[in-house]
Amino acid sequence: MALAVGNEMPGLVNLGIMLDIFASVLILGIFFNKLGDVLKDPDVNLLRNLKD
Amino acid sequence: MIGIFLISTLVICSILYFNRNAVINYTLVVGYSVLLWVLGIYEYRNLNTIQLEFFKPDALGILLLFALCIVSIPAFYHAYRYIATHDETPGSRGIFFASFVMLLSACSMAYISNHIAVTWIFVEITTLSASALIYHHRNIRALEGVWKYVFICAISITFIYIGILFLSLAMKQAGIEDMSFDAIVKHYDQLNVFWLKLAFLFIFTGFTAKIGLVPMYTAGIDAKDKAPAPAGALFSSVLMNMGFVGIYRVYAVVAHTEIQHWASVIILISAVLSVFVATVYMTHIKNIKRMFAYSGIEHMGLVMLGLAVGGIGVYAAILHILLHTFVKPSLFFQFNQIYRVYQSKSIYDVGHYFKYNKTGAFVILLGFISATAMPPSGLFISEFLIFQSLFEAHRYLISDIRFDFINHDHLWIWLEYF
Repeated sequence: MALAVGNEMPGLVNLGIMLDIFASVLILGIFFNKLGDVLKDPDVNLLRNLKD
Repeated sequence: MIGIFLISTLVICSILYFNRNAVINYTLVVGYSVLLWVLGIYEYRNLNTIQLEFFKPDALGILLLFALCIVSIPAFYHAYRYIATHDETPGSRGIFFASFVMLLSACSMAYISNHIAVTWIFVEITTLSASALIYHHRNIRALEGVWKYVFICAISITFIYIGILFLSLAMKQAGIEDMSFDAIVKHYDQLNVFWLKLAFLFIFTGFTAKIGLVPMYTAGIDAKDKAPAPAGALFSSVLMNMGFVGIYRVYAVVAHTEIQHWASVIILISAVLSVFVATVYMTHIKNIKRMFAYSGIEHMGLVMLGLAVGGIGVYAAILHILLHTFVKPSLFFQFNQIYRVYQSKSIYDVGHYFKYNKTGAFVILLGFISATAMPPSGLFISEFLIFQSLFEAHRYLISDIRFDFINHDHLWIWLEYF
């Protein structure tokens, strides 16, 4: 989409964005796995404790 | 200098991560804080020069960078105390300090970046390093907090990215190649107003997750509650400032154009709602840390009010955010001492704090006076100036509502402490 609509970003910036997206997907994956390990029961209601 | 700083940050973080020796760990941390100060002084001496193509320290960036340098020293000390009193393994200590260093570096780079995509990159890095800090305790509650935080921040960062795409669309139509803030401000009159409106809306909504304003503030509250207090102190000061810088820079572009009034109304709505939500929640929250977090939301709402009405309000907003950067971390740091005495976060379990810890009680009393903006504190002056600017802009209704909120808000249940 970035290629389709907008200005070309400088190469270094593109590299940074790529790295960031890669790292965030990695982190999301790690935490998703962690959630699977910790919650044996795949019930999302267990994740409703933090509230006011 | 910025290149050296970035490379040394990476090196320090990776050594911290793999290292298991306490002496090396703390030497690196001390070395890093020296490096941070050197960076601050170097950037101050090179004000308004373009460095490494994408960075240009302007007055606001330098101001917040120095605030970060000052806050980083007690933050590192309290992090050291925190780790020392919690029987950490060398591994968890390494990860904690590595993410601490990464968070500080990313915030300081975001302050002085002059290219909107570079700001975006560093905002994303703060999300990642903050998630490691929130998950420090490795329990189910921390997991819930971090999961919500990463989720909300991922959405907000996508919003910012879409906003940048709209902005680049507007710039492409105007034939501008360079996407630095300087170039955008210079060519503001050629930008298509429709795309600019969309860009502002998305970028503003995205940054509200970092600064802690109404649409996306929720995850930040859980994050500050679940993260160790020294990390919570950083989230509620330097990280919020980073969101402010992002909004400020985009608003600086919009403020030149004909949609300035429209944009200020958007900011006003978000700001008034933030103050409202913070006030309502604060009256029935029993968790001290969450109370601090909501107090931060309220202060950011005030800052945005100042920014939106303009005039003397902008000056007051910057003064307010700067003073808030010093006050809020001190409260978070002191929270650890309170927790050590009472082993509880609930306001029902605390009391007679003067009896247990005289110095701590004095510090928290001073912090409380400052955070609620009672007259001797500097925050009173900035709030007064924001109030004045609201009247000058003939926004009587908002100033009235705001005044009511602040009165309520400042009569917190807090006095139960003493």
